[in-house]
Amino acid sequence: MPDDITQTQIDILNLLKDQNENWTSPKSLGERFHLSIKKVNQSLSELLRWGYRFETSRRGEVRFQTAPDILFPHEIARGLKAQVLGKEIHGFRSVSSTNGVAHRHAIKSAPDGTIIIAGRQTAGRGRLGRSWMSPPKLGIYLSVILRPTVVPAQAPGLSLVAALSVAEAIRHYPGLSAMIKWPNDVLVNGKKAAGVLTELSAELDRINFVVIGIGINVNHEPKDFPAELADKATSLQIEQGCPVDRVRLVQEVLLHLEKRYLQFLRNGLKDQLKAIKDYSSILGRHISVRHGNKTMVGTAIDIDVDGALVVNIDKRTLRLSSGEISLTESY
Amino acid sequence: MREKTIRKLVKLVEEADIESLTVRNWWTKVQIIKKGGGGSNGGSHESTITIPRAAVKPSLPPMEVAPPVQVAPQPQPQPVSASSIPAAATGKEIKSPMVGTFYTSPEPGAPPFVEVGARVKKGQTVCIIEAMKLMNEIESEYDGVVKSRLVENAQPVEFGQTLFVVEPA
Repeated sequence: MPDDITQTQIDILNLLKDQNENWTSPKSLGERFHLSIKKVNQSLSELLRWGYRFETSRRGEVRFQTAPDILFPHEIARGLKAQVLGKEIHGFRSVSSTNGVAHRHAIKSAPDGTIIIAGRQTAGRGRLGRSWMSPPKLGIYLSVILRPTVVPAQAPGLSLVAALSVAEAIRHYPGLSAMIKWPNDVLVNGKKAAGVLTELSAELDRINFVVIGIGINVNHEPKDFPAELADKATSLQIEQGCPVDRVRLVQEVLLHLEKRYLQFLRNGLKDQLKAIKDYSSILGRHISVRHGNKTMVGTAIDIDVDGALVVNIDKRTLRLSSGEISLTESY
Repeated sequence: MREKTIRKLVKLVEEADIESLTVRNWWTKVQIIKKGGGGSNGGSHESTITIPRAAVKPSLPPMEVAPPVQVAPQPQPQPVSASSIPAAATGKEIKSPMVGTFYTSPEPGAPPFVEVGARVKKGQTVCIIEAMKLMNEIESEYDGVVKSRLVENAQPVEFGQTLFVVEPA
């Protein structure tokens, strides 16, 4: 388990990373951290066991080479530009669902901005229990615990805040022009690459906490999706043509989410509504809206400042806050 | 709203020790003010009542009775402060903290969180209100027995709308 990496090992690792191309002797590492050379070498072999790679010079000095493709909390924390999000990060190789773990941490008063992250979810929750595929090492499954100071009625806007942040993070990669499918999916080239599931614990007038769950298909190949999802789901690797560094992507997501979340606390969706609309995949399009077992067809015309979708249906204008949206033939 | 319903409400206001009564449901708002209801004796007795859709069924012609999807109402200048329906109100009410869609179970086909007649504990999840894919697990604020559920599964609910009545144990 990633939790088993000790602080000493992380300290040694970070020092070696800081040295860039320079060689470091085990002796100087020992002096720096008050360890015997034997203990330093033990730590280095533990790190090797985790998949870290170091070069060794003929004089027995070492330098950092590569990190394993694992979402270690200490890797995410290193170089993380977000200030509040990720102050506390709990990593798991595999959990039933990061939202479930986050929920338990939140009840035990985990601080605002705590992150739960896993390389795999065995029971990833989609909306209303629909499962979100979570093979190991291919995706990112993370949940953020927030304690926003807004009234519960405003909380649904956070779904759009999160979807926008994920879309913006993905847009850092060349060729990945991510779009938001209202209210909580992120599409790349028309296929779903990421999704958001937000859970709220609240009194009538006060939020206890919000858990924002984010799942991103990162390094999946076409064979990793079941056949029935082939034309609906995609991954960043498939669309970009090369693998994406998951640690860096998590850092980007957290940075954007923090910025948009602070904006939301100040001004609701007002400051980000333009970006949300610009990236919307459905505005101006013919859509069908399914709710329970009823379906209706219309045109998505706007997203309002509460985040509701404004739709024209049979010459009536409706504001929707729920429903499964799909595009219908638009010509 | 039907004439019959309104007549009933007028009678209610006449008999009760209140000056006015405002009733809202999904589509309509009716305010009944007692004639010459001398407001001299201190504070006003106005009570605003939100009648859950499920409780007052046929309110308007079919087209508007059954909106195919959740339709968020236009923002109101102030939140509707809902109180109980006098006739039904011996238990404690669990109300919705937001506009959204009411779900009785964690996923379609799963057994409901609670059944009418079941015991609930304080903090136990009784339903989910969903809006924009934000799932709000509503908890009972009381130990007791679920006396009634006032909303059907997958139906829209308003802010402050009563979802359940719980008889405290």
